[in-house]
Amino acid sequence: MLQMTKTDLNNKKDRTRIKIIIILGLFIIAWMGLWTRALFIQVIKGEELAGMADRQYYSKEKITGKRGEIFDRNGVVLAQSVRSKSVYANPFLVENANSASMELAAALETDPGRIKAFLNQKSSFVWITRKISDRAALKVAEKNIPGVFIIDEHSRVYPRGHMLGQVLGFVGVDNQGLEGLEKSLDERLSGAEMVIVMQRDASGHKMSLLPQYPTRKVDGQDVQLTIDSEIQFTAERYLASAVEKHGGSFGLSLVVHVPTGDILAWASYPFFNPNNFQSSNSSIWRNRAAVDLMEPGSTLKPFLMAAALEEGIAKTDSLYFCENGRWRLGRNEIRDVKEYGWLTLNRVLRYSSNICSAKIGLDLGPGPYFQYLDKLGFSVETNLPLPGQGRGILRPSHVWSRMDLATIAFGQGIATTPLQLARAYLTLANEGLFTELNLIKEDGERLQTWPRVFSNEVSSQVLSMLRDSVEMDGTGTRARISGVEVGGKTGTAQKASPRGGYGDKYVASFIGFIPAHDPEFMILAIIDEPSPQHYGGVVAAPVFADIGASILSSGRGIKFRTLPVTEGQPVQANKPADNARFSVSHRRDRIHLGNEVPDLRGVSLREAVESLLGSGIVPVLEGKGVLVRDHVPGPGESWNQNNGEFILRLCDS
Amino acid sequence: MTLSLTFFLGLAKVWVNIERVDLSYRIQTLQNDYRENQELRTKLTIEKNNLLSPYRLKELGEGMGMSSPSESQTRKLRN
Repeated sequence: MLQMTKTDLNNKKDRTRIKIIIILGLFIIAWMGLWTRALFIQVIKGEELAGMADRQYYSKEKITGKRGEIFDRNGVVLAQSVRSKSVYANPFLVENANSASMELAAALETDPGRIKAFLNQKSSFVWITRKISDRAALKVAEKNIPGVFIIDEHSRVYPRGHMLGQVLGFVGVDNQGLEGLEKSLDERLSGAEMVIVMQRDASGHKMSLLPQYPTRKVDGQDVQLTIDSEIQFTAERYLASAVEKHGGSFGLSLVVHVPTGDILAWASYPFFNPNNFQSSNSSIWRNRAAVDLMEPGSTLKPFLMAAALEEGIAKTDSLYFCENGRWRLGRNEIRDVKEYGWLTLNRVLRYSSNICSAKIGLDLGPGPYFQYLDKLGFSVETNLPLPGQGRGILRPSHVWSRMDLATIAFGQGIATTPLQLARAYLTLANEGLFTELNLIKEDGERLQTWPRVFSNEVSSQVLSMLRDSVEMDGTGTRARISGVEVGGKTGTAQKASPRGGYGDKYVASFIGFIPAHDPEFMILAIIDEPSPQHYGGVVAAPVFADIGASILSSGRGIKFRTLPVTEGQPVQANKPADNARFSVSHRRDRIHLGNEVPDLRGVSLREAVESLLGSGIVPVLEGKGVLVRDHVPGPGESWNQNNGEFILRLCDS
Repeated sequence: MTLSLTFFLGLAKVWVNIERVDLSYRIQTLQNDYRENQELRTKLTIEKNNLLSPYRLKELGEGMGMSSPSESQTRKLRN
């Protein structure tokens, strides 16, 4: 019995050992499994899994820099990009397309059927609407429709409306430049694209644990133009009224600062508003001054005179016989508007005789005349950054017939763009030095040396002739501006008809200088197809006079030559980066006006008037002069002493 | 001793990390505010330019019976 009990005990012990061994074995297997898994995760798959984790922590975002802004020379904004909202949808995430389209249509005030068509598309991304107002975007956001999202985009705004429309051009819905400066300067203006990495938390919120948001690096560059928006406004205003008054189909005016070649105003009529280019068409937004060719007509004659003087073919008092208005040259006949007999060279230009110009051209010969026209740039486009510029039509002189030479002498049988013509006139005005036009401010600040086309003496003689054309009994008398001597040349070119030969339509033009000698401003005015009046001297010359008088009576006046725009002002002060800075005009401190009248005696009239007007007091002026001699009420008296009237008595010194 | 030092250093690291995340949220909020304000300023500048557009001022002026002075009505003052 005892023997049996001992054997049982031994068996029990053996089983316990086996159990312990099995548990230990299982434990070791589990431990080994964990270690193997750890090795698999950490070492073998470690890199891949870490990458997956990073993709959850960080998100990549593509950002597009803001398009650069366009300013005028004084920092007035002409084109600007603003952030606007666009609405897109993922139709797969939209729960109920019917109700979603109704809600969206109510928020966006549009047709629900159109939106429903978008939401029924089999695509994971559809635009619902782009570049909407902040108010409409807020309404959409408030609806909180699943599958409908709002995204920020940049849209282009032209705050001055149609001002400079054709020159600025416009951008498409994806901010790509499509016309004008927006197209030609697209590379410079458009922002770069950049992929940035943002860290996200568990709920997907972005966190800034990374360095500064780098948008500044990808923003497009700003551009400052030479345009002065005040002068531009004046040029547009008078051009529009002249085109309407004379029933023209198109008008152009250009104001150029002569010493630098800076274009201060560039107006085209009919106007084009780039904010709403969809409602316009290419015939309106085309920049005709740069693209279209026209026969310059009589406006080419000053260059013929200058070439003849330069070559020693003629002198200012050389006599030419104008054949009493009709001259047969081979099988053709050349006619003048009026019948003239013998005229001196300067009278030929003053009365704009075609016959005598043809004779001078024939004396000069095709070779030399062609060379001068070529040097004046009539066969090359200007270097302005504008798309699709015309090069003009100037055939080589060896194919010119005698009749060709005669007609090119008075501006027919040659075609130029208005810009080429303006540039050639700039050469005359700048003492015979070829000068390029500028539209981008920094381009003009580069020092450049231009080739000489005419001597200083010859260009000065031609400027005198142009002055006589306006100030004496020439064709441009309606261009006179009282108080300043101006010079210029009228042009009345017959337009070539599509059926060959010349039709009954005309281009009236006038190009002039203020002042006549050593000019500061050059103004060009062209009116296409005016009717019934079509003479340049009647239709275009008054536009010159109106724009010129307005510039002179404005604060700008004649001062650029004495106060160069590029010098004297620190460049930093004119940086367009911060446009708020431009809005603050620097004014001198005014005289402080208290309850009693201050002593204004001896103060300059301007200062006194500015101080008084600043406080709402309109003074009555008595006498002549620029200094205040005395005033009523006098110093220290009450403002109401003289029934509220304030009299300033003036003296000269 | 080493154990308690490790424990406190560990706590400090956790605290610094929490602060860092909090700060990053605040920076993000401020950056958003800054961008919003900048955008608002741009929009207000455009609005100001619209309001000061010479064409608009001319229309308003004409509506109030004002017109530009003719040449004979302007007087140049010397500084």
